[in-house]
Amino acid sequence: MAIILEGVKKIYPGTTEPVMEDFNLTIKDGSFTVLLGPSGCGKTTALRMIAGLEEVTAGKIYIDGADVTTVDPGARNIAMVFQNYAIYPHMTVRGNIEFGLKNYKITKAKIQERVNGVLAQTGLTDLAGRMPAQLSGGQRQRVALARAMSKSPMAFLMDEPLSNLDAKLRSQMRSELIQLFDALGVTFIYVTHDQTEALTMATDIVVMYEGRIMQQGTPQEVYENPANIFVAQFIGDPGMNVLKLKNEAFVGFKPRALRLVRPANGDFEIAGQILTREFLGHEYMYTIDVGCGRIVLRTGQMIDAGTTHTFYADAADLCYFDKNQNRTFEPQQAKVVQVFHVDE
Amino acid sequence: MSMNDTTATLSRERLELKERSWFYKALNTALKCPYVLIAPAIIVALWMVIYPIFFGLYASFTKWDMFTKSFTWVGLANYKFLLVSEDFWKTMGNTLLYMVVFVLAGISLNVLLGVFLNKNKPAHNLIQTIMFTPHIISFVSVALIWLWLMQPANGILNYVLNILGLKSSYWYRSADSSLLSILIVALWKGMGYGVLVVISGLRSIPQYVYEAARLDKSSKPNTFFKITLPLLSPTLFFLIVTSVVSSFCTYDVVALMTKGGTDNSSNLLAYYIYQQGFLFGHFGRAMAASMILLVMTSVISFLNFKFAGKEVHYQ
Amino acid sequence: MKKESILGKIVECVFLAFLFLLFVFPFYWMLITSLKTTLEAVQFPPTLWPSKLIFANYADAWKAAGFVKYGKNTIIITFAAVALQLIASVPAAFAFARMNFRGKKLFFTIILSDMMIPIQAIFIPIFLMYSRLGWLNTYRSMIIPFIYSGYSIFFMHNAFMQVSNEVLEAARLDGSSELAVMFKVIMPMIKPVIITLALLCFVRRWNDYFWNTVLTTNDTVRTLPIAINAITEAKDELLRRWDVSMAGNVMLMAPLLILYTVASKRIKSAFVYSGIK
Repeated sequence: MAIILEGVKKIYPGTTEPVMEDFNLTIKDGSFTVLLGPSGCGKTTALRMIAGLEEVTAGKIYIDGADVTTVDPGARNIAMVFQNYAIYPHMTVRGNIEFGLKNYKITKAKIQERVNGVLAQTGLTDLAGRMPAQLSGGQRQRVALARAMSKSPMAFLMDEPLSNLDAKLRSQMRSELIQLFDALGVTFIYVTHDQTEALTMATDIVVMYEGRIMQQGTPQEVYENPANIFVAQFIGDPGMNVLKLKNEAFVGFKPRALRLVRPANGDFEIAGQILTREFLGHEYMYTIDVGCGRIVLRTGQMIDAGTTHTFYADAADLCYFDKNQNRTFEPQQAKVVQVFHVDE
Repeated sequence: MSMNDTTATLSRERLELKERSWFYKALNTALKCPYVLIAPAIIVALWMVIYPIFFGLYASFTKWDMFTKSFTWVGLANYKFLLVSEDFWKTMGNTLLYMVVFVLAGISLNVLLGVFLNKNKPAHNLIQTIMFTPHIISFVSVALIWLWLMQPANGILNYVLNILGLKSSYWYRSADSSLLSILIVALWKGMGYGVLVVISGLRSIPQYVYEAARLDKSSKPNTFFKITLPLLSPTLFFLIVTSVVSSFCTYDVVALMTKGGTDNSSNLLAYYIYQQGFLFGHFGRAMAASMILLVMTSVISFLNFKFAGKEVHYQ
Repeated sequence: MKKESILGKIVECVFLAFLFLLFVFPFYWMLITSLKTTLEAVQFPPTLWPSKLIFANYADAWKAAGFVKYGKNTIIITFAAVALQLIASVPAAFAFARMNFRGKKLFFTIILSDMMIPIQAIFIPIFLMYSRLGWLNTYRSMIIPFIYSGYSIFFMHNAFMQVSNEVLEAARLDGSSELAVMFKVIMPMIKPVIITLALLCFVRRWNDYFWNTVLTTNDTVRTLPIAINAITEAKDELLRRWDVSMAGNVMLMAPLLILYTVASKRIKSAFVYSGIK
């Protein structure tokens, strides 16, 4: 039941630039795969092509081994939860769930059984007769989920489903989605630009940028072992500090890796002046001017702004990248030229 | 709230789409094609609006023979006829006079009554609703009522004039007052609509503008002329455009009340076209006059498209 | 200050009363005249209330106008026009609002053409066209032109633009056909707009005088407004029976007045918003 995109190309009608070209992605069966990337990276396009809402310009899409490239969305055995929930405003909660089921070969009794089942599972039984206008944002979200669940799809597609909820409800829904994923045991494909959602829920993360896959791996892999500078700087809060070296290679380290005392095998040091200090509750975030740009440090230690220090990093905390910005495991020894940001 | 942990069993059975009949499928495929969706409207539009314009343009250069049902090319003869026809110029003069009075009187009364009635009080709302009634009934009904009210011999309007010590009028029967009579009736019929449009325009002016004006100690007339009117200008512009076009195209009230009046005293362009075509059988002349009407309304529409959304809109 | 406001109140009341009279009296006079005897109707000075209420005028008007025949014509033409206009406008508006296709701009301009081209400027070519096709005095000549309405399509188009695309996509993912998307999702969502446009079309067709007089040459498919007007117009000024004319007029506007009483808010907004783009 894996979902495979093979050599997919997409050009939107009326444009000439492809948003993605020769795009290959395999989504493992039963995984909670998160497509993560900044807006415009093609993650939503990929999801919509899997759903069948967007035609592919070239290439193939397989679901469970079957070529579904030209199959109608309703026949792909998938369900989708939209950013704005997309519940039918003129139907009750029950009506919203029933509506889709009526399009399938299934008896009326079975429909009722399914509807009651998902209503109970999502805690909506008491709200079954309500109209969407009478529901809160969280309840609407739940209706959208119930509607998706009622079809017992092979895969759940979700397009930023939590972005319209407030922070508290969002974290609650995250844990509920994890529970739901565990309970249903089917593939989830989830699109977001929010790395917290990706890191907390995913079993697989696909980091995308400008229509290309930058890295695919578990949250730990992506977080600990970025495959390139883009991923290194995109993941983390904030991302890695990356310094360009004289030999065109790069060295990177996470903001928490810097310390004021030279560690035992510390082979990296850089001097800088503290520009600002932000209190984050459990620690501080500092912006440091290192002469050739600014880097960020997060630590529990209190340092005064305006003071100058030498900062060190442990060899184990350093990531090296070659001149193509890809990860390399050969340590690079060269002078720092400047602080590097991938989006510059 | 959290996901209910009830043991409700969820079916895992895969679903397959219902089979549809070939007809349903064909219809469904057709509906995915935009050209199929727009076809009925486009065909009728081309046939009943676009084609007649070109046909009419052609016909305005011809003479139509009733018996052979054929057109003979006569070049600019129809236009030349109109240019030297006294009746045509009288009609054009009437039409322009009618337009000016209809627009100026109509819109000033609309604004006056709109500001007066925009109070959201029961009496004001009732008057507003009643005032709109003539707009939704047929011009036939309105004309019949006013033909009777203005009836020169037994009409109650003359009776009222007499009570007030004024002389009876022949209203729609006389060359002196027939244009005025149809103007009164047309204004009466359209008043409720204009007032409603003005009121909806007034209501779309944000309240904070008035609050700011009050803080600036602006006097009532000053607020009206410096704030209400300018902010109402998109609405007024819309009313002016529609009133100008509708007065150029006025047919019903003329046909129903005066039939052009004695000595064309209340003949208007649209009725003139009808007369030339259907009463006198000069389809070519009627079409030439139609083309003139079309140019007049097109100029207004063009100005509307050019200026609407620019100078007159503030938000 | 206080005195002024009392004076203002009085002026306001007088003005309200004047407006009330100006817009109610003509209707009152029509109704009262329709209940008078022929003689009392034309009596001078007029009486404000009939000395004896006569209902026979209604029967006379019914017969004189040929109410059954013209009523039937009116109903056929009005309802057919409303139904066909909606059937043609909904899909067209949907296509313009929700689909991309070659020539969309040009087609939309064509669709808006009837909002810019007055019928008074093109009725003669249409008449000649009808005459050549042998369509004069047929129902189809009165109905088919109204299949298309630029207004209807334009306003439905605007309404469709407000419907979120996600809802339509959700329906497609739910296995709905395009047919179901249109009829079960989109149309219920813009129901108020559809009702408004149906009302507008109904009122306009019911009241139509111009189209029904200039594009017919005999009475076969003419409608009530023409028939009611004929009661008065058929007779010379001094021989007119205003009592009967007014009775006919009451019957002509009664359906609209009832409709307006039931749905005045909706009708008012229908007319106002049909104008303002």
